[in-house]
Amino acid sequence: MESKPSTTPSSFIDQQVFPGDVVLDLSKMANQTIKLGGGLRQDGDVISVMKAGKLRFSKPNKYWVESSNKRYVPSAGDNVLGIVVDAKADNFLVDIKGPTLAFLPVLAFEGGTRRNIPKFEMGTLLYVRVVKANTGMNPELSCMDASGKAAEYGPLKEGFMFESSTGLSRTLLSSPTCPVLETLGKKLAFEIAVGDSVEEHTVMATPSDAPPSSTDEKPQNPVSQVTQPSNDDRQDTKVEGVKESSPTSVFVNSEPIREEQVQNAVKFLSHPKVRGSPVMYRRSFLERKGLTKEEIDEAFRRVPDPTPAVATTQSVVTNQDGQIKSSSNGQQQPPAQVLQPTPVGPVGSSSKMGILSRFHWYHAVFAVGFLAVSGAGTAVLIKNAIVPRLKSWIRKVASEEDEEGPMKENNAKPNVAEEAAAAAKAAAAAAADVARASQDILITKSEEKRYFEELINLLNVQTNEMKSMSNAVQKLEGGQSINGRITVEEQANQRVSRTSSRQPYTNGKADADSSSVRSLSPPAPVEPSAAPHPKSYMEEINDAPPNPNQPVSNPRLAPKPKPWESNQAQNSSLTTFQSQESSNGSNYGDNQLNGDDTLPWWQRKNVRITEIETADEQKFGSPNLPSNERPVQRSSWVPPQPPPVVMPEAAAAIRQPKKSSYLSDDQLLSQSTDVTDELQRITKISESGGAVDANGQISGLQSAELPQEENGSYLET
Amino acid sequence: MPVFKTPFNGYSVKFSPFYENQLAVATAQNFGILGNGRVHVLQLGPTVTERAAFDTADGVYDLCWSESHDSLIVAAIADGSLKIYDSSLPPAANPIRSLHEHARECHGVDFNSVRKDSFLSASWDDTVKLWTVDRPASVRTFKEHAYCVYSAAWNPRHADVFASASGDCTTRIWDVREPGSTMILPAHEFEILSCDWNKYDDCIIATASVDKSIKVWDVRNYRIPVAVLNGHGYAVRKVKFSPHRGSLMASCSYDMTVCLWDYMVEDALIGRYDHHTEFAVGVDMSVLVEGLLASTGWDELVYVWQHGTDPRAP
Repeated sequence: MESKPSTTPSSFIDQQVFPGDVVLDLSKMANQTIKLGGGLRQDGDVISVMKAGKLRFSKPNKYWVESSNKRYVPSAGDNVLGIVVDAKADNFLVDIKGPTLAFLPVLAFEGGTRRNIPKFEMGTLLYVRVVKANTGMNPELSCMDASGKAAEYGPLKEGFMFESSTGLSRTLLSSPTCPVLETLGKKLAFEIAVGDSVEEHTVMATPSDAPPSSTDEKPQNPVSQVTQPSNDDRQDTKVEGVKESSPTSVFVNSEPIREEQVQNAVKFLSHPKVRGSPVMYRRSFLERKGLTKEEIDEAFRRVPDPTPAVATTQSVVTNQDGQIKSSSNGQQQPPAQVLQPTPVGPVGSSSKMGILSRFHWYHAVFAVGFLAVSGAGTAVLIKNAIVPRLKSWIRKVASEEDEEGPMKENNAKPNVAEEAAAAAKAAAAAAADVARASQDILITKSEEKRYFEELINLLNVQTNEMKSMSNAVQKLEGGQSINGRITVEEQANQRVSRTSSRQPYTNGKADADSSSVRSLSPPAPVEPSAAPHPKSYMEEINDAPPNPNQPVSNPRLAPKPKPWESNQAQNSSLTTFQSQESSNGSNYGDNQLNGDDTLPWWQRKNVRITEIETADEQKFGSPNLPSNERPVQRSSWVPPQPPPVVMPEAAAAIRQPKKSSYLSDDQLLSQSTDVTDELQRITKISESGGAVDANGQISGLQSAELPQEENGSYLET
Repeated sequence: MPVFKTPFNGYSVKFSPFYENQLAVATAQNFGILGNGRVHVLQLGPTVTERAAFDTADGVYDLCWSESHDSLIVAAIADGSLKIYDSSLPPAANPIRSLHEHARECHGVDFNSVRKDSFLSASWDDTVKLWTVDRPASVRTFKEHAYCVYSAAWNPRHADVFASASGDCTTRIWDVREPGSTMILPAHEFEILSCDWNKYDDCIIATASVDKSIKVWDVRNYRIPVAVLNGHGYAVRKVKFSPHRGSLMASCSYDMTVCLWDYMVEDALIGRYDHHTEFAVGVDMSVLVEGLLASTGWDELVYVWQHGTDPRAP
């Protein structure tokens, strides 16, 4: 408090102040910097109060006035709750109950990129941080803390949202934990998210799985004990299931489980940091490391899964140190992150944040798996253990009753009579009620009919009015047709009206009572899933099918066999070429007659190889075979045609760095031309040998020419 | 070789399996980030001419021709929908179907070439969906990937087997008859953008990744790749096996080149075309004309050329 000026505002600090009060006199202050928060303003040389409230001071030099408001004034650094109102290309529009909507950039999420923009339905409740709050601009939000981590920010699921005044939020966040919360925490487990400090509003309480029974002394969660065995059971079934399904094809992994991989996976999974992450991520990570499903399952089986987040984070109320009360689970989760609102303006006290419960899909999977597996076991158990006991118990009770019977009968009989009478009375009353209700219904029905008719009349009147209006508009416009811009505007209007009807609380809730409660569980699915782009600065194109039920017309051509299919069937390259030629012929029959020159350009091969291409192509393939075919394929596939030879210069250029060590360019060229000659020679021989026994001849030749051949193709391809 | 200039940035190009002189191009405005899209059907003649064009409200990321119907095209749209166009009908009567199930951008489609009645769509919502032309809803959803799925490719021999390439750094092999994926291929350390099957060996698959490499895998022994093809300077966007030669592959990359590879030989890179002046994102090899290649890229140009010739030659 050294920085306090001589006018001693200490007299004002934590006192009620009113507009006009002067709390500081700058003229008397030595060279000091002070920061002013809300409700104070500099008026010449003095700091005066603008609104009624308590003057607060935080070391070293911040002053502000606290009061309870229904409206929130954004201030950078506040943690707030907001409702998604609209999604634009770059921003979500979030209602934080401030004077204007706030922008939440779509990339302001941990690891946010264009590709993983989150999709929020309209009406999603978010826990966000205000990063910019300048006058005249919409405030900007972020779902990351200052270091770019998601922290606790993000959408809040389930539970209820209450609006509260800023004063109440502040009380709930105040540093000696609010006694209400403390008391509540003794009775039931819940999580609460209070939007910030200075001026904030909403509370989210999630009654977690523990039933809020007042008799339950420990706020312990019974679910945690149940889930543990369920994990193991689930893994067992999974492994069995895999074993049962015999691998049907080569595409099914049939490799044995590799022990060392499983060991690694177990090490990974038992790492304390890893334990906290969702199963899906762990699985995905292991898959990326090359483990098979079976290995991953095995590893999961060996590492007992920590009880899922819902069970472990039963933090009832985090007290101000951020420690979790009553977390008596075996595996202690890292203590819940305490969110520190970083007040640029006010509030030094503050800061306590519950953890938000998240129900993950795998909990359900666990539960279902557990039920399924345990079903049989339970049946056996019931049959063996419980049923006999039940029987004996019933027998016992029956015998007791027999003993007591005579004594009780006297007392019981009058009771029974009385009860019967009472029941009869009640039944009569109920019947009367029903009769009355049905009468009412009849009356209301007739009334409804009347109203409906009136409504129809009104509608008729309105349509008439509309017609006359449209006539008037047409007259006004003269001959001009309505241009596109108007329709766009209309669409815009429609959109606006749609959003407003969709979000009644955005506009209509300004004066809503602060005790309004809204269940969050289903965040009101609006449209199935519209892309997050606005169409504002694009051409509006209607690409909906004009007639979605129109039958598909009949194709004019039958599907052609694929080159690889026909090869497989015929085991010869001849057919492909012929079929290809025939197809060419059908389309371009006249071209084909005149030879190469009139071929369409896209069919022309490289000029250098045209001479050997047309005539010799078919046989050319077979000598080339050994060089580019693997032994596995030999039975099923013979390459259809030689490679469409690249320009030798190009090939040489590509290869130059490697070849230049032992082949000069000239050598290379001469050799490649040699090869071409060689090839021509072979193919000519094969031609002269006739088509029938060409193969035999070639194979004979081939053995002699093979080394050269391979060399050639290597160079030429 | 004639060149076709598209108004938007090219995203994908596919030759028709019926007409050797037709091809379809998918384009998207503003590099596909935001804006409209267009599907072009081009005709090869003395020059490349446009037979038809269909506008869409969102970018078109990929397309494929129907294998059973000579004029049907399935387009993958950035709003998550799949639209089916009949190129024989006027634009006013198109699309004939719009299938909207994916929650996020649709990034790849592939038509089954064996069964010829169904197609796959890969989407950024981490799922692959199986569709048929005559059904309004998807037949199945394959949801196992942990991140965006960029492409899916049917096996050319087995009617029910397909592979999917995902940003979770795995490629998964699926059999439609099985409830889940039958094999997980942790193929790269980085996101996998594309995969394709060898047309002559039904066990060979190629994957292209952000790590600039293409890897060729044998699914019978997937611990080590059959070949690792390095040579691209940036992420490899698409990889495609030749329909005519078993070991020949084409690929395109963000280094603006289209490369041809023969993974069997030691010096696998057998051709490099640097005709694009922007990211090359689409490449295809004609099934009907051997050696005919087409490519498109963000420079808004579609090139069609015969292997061994200069794509830019007039």
